[in-house]
Amino acid sequence: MATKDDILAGPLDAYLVNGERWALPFFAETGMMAYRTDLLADAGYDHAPETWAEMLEAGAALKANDQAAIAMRVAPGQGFNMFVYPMIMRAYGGHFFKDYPTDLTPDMNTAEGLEGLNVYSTLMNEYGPEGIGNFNFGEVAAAIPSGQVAMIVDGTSIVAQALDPEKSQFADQISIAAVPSGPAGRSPAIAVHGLGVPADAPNAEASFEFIEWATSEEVLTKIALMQAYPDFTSASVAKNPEVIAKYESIHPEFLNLKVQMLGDAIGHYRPLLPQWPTIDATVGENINAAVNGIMSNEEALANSDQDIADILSE
Amino acid sequence: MQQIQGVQPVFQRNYNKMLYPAVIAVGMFAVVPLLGMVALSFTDFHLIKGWGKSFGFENFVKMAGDRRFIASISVMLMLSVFGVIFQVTLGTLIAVGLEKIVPKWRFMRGIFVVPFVVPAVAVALIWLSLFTPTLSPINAFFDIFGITVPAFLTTEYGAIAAIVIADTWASYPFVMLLILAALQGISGDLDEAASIDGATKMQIFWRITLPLLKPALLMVALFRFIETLKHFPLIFVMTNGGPGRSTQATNYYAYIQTFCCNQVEMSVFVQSRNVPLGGARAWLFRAETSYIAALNSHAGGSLCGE
Repeated sequence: MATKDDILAGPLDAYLVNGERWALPFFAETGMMAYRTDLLADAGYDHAPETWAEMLEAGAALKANDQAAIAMRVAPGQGFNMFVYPMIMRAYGGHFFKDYPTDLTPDMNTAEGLEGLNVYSTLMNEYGPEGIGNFNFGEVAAAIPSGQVAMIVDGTSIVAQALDPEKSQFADQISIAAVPSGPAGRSPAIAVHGLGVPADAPNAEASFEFIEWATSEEVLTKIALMQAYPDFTSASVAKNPEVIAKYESIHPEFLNLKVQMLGDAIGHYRPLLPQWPTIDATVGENINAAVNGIMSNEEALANSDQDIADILSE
Repeated sequence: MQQIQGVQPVFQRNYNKMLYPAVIAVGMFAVVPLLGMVALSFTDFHLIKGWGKSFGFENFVKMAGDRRFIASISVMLMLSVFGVIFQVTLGTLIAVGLEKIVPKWRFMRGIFVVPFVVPAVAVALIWLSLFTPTLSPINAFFDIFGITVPAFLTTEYGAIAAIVIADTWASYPFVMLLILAALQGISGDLDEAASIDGATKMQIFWRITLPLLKPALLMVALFRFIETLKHFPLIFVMTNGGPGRSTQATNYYAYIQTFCCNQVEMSVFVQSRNVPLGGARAWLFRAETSYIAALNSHAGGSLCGE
């Protein structure tokens, strides 16, 4: 049976609402960066940018070499741009609410939030490939293996595709790194799937026994060895030598980096509110409009605050 | 009604019975779901929370004040109106060209129909890559000459234009086939008579062919208009409703309301806004078909009466 300490912090807190945990995680995707070592070396960098500010500088250097620097998701939607944008927003100290979960006053339109949006917008428009205003995870996944861009910051499943020699023509020159941090720290993206028991379940005890078994170290290890499943949420599985050997072929650092990112991630990367899907979709549209120049960054944030307030008051 | 003698009443009853399967099928699969949808639009059914036992006009009031809904109507109209104009124009030109000007090219009909056969999602994916500057062969081609093709999908009106272009490419064969069929019904004698009288091909087209095609053109335009109101695969794959909200047509907005916001009753309302619209459309269509039928018989009669 898994102990609470064995489950990685980010995924465990993804189910923390009002001081109680409502489900156990068994799958967690997180954010990661993939980059072309050769292109960055040409621009004078022997390592991946560690902060978003460094990312901007690297972008300028790469642009001087006539190379698009970075691709990230921009398409509007809760699973699209809103999966990656909060990474930059939170790195600069921006947030959705004044003090989640106690004070739900919308608070995106702050100086920090604006800085984050400016960085995102600049990276995409100045140092991204042409037409990035529409990019979704498909285009991002295709951008780095084809040589269009030097770096991508996206979910681990997208990054893993770039490292796959069968799908990527530059697989040998692609390496991975942590999501860049900012003045307020690092906030990798996180998407968690878990198992819970509904309140009116007829066999609640039996269900919980099943959940315990399904999220135990034994079972997760078995799945990790038999299937392509690097997204487990248990630290002890990550230390298992057989599992490490299997996933080393993706990249020697893949598992370690993933565990590190999951430790840095916060459970409420996407706030745990029932109206959040609606809020996320609406804010995503505003952010996309800002990146595409349809409205200014300040307008986008102010409109987002207004939209969030409208949705919460319904 | 006249007294029908002998065996006719038996036939009449059996003819009526022949309608039953169709009536049952349409009733079960079209009318009942439609009524259910209309009823649902008065409730506050939530995909996860279920029905909150409320039943009233709140959704209608919400929709009237929802600026996103109103914006979506203007997007839908832009896509439909421009889409229909281009499709009908292109389809008619190709049909007339195939039939009149280059009769030796009849085998080309098969080639011109190909876009219509491609599944909608495949069309959307093809055009997405054609409009993505980093992947598109069109951009690569123009880059050779140093011309940078602007990115369509990231500007408000460019995105709408992109969807109209993709839709026109996929749907003009429908127009072409129907107009071709209508053209077959126009006698070649008219063209011959006109050219003997000294009319040029263009004059024949504008003065004789087009007026005779008017009923078919109206019908085709109506069909296409109804189809374009249902735009979904192109928007979903090519723009996701973006940039911002500029390609969020009403149908797409309904999808967002249901599946992103779990508010089934809102989306059903948006859809059922299309129900009265659909009902109105149906009545309009009935009226049009009777008008077209009347026109056809009039045209036929006037030709015969020569």
